[in-house]
Amino acid sequence: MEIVEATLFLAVLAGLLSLVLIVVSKKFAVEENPLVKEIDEVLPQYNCGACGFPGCSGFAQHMADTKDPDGLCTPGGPDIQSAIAAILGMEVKEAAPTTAHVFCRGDNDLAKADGEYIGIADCIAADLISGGEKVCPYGCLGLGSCVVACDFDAIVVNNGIAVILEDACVACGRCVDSCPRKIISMVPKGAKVAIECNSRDKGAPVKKYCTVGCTTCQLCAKNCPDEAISLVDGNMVIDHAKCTFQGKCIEVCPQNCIHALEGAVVCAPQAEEESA
Amino acid sequence: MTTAIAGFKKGGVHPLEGKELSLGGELVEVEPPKMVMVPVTQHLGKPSSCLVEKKADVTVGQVLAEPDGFISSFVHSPVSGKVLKVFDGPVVGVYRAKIIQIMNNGKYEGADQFASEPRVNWSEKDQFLERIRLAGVVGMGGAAFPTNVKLGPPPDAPVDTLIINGCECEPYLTADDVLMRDTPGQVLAGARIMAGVLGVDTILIGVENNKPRAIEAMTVAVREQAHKSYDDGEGPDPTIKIVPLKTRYPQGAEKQLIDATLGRRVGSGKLPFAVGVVVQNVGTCVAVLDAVGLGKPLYERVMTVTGSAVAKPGNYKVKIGTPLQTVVDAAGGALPTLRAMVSGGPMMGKSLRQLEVPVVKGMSGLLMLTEEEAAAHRERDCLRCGRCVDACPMFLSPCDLAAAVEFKEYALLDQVMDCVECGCCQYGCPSRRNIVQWMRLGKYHWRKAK
Repeated sequence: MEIVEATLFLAVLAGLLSLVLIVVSKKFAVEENPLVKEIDEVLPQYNCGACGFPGCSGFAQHMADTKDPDGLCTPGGPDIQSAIAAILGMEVKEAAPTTAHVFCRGDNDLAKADGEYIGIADCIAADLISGGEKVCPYGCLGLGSCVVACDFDAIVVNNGIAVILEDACVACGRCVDSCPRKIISMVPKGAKVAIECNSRDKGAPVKKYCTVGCTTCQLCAKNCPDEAISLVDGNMVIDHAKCTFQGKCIEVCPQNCIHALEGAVVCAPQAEEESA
Repeated sequence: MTTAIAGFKKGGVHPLEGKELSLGGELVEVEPPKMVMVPVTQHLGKPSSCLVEKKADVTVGQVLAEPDGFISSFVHSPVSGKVLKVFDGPVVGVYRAKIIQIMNNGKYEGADQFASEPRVNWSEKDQFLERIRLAGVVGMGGAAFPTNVKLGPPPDAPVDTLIINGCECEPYLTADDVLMRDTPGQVLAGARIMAGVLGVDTILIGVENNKPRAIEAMTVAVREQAHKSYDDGEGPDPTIKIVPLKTRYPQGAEKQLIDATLGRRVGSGKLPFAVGVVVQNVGTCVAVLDAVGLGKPLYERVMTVTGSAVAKPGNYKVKIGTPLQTVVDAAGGALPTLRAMVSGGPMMGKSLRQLEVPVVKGMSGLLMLTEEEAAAHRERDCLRCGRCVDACPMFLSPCDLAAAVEFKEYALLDQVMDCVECGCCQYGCPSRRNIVQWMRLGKYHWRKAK
């Protein structure tokens, strides 16, 4: 009989407490914008911080509160962007998907090293003293601060140079901030060509310390049919909006530091046909 | 000496001194090469602005760069000749800095006006500070802080004592030792000028007791009043006292020296002004005497070139802007056993990757070290033995701060800015932790978070 008594007692107690819970949850319910939950559900849940808010829920809250027309989930891509726009009933913000890219190719074989670095394996720490092993004061230190910063395993250091695995990159931009030498920057996903050197030195010193360093000879700028390349602050910069990828720059670069990006197809023959 | 010799109270280490290496020979003057490279900014503070252009003719002592702001300094030409170009090149501790390249015509036009004996005319006392400023004098101990700024304390901080730093606590370096041995009168005269400018009547000269000859020479000079031989007219008569100190690194650090000589303690984040003290290096004294007594700008200095991987270690008088390669050649060249090069002393100096960098005002030494001297080790995990805590003269807990940086707990770094990067913690670390580098990284993150 005792077991029945105990069961009954507990059942009644549970019923009463649940009543209390129901009443309390109704009475003290926090008004929440239902949009927050809706938006949060479509977000990728990377919590990468690329939007500038603490995690995906922070971004959802911000969007639901302000309907910020500039709010953007870059890692989410256009699909998620239009999903958010549909929920909020606003216009879809056109944002070209980007990806991180390392603007240095001076690995341990191609860039000259003149010392041995024995210290903390952290690029900022090395940059605060005389730098790493390579002579180039602008090149990749290869100690992997960006690898640590990346939550998506999208960066590896291979033979003294960081390489971005574009399939894994969600364009959160953390690696860009982690690099003391500002070698990594975001490029539009459709970009076809990159001048992979960050050096702002003149030609003579660059030639001394790197076999794939840009000497700013400007041959690429002179030969670009689209006039998409220019010298900005000691660095050759491509305007990806103008570039139609004729492939001329890759051919003329004497230092071999201009490269076609993955998936790009040279459209030069077609251009010749058109002109002919 | 029968009484206990003074020293600073907490922390410190006593590394192998290695000073005998460079104390053998005479002071040798190094002839600058055909090309000298004078960095535009050679001090701590706001960068100077360049005054000369390409193809300009310059003479010895001509102003090349002027201060841009209060804490900034002049730079003068060490040679006569033509400015070839102004370019961005490597300077010790900086990847790219503005450098004026001068083609030396070897005639040293204008140098003879600075060749005579300095005379100090005390009736012009109120011009002394301006002359020091115009001569571009900066602290010669290594930090290169503009001297005229240090000699102008804020009005709410009455200064009663001038301390002259003759500790040279860094192992291997002997440049200050040589100055005190060979020219004690000039050191005293320079100190007296600074005391006159500050209006203090006590000068304490702290010298570590591993330099008995320097202490003796300075004591004799004080007794004979050697500093008065440079006088024109009646000057002030401050009390000058030589204070022998127990050899211990980092005795020459400002706060430690004040503690050792006066027993006053400078608080965290405070300047020596706060306890009524100004500290100046002995090298600065000589530069001040030249500036005031001759109008001679600071364009040359004594530096120690030493280490077991150089043929003739010793002290060399070098012109600012001389490439280090020329200095090493003058010292007989590097030996094949060379393993590491350091600018400054072994404890706080900066590792050099090449010798094509110019001598600057704050460069007190160049070390050419062998494998044995420069043995480097990979770091291992902290044992929490606490040796670094005992060794730290700044009352910090280096192992905890380093761990906070390593594990990115930047909120725990409030004390990190007190670190003077003396390296005592790392010197005795059984795990060979790169504590100083962690501290520097911590300072970077602390400043960034602010």
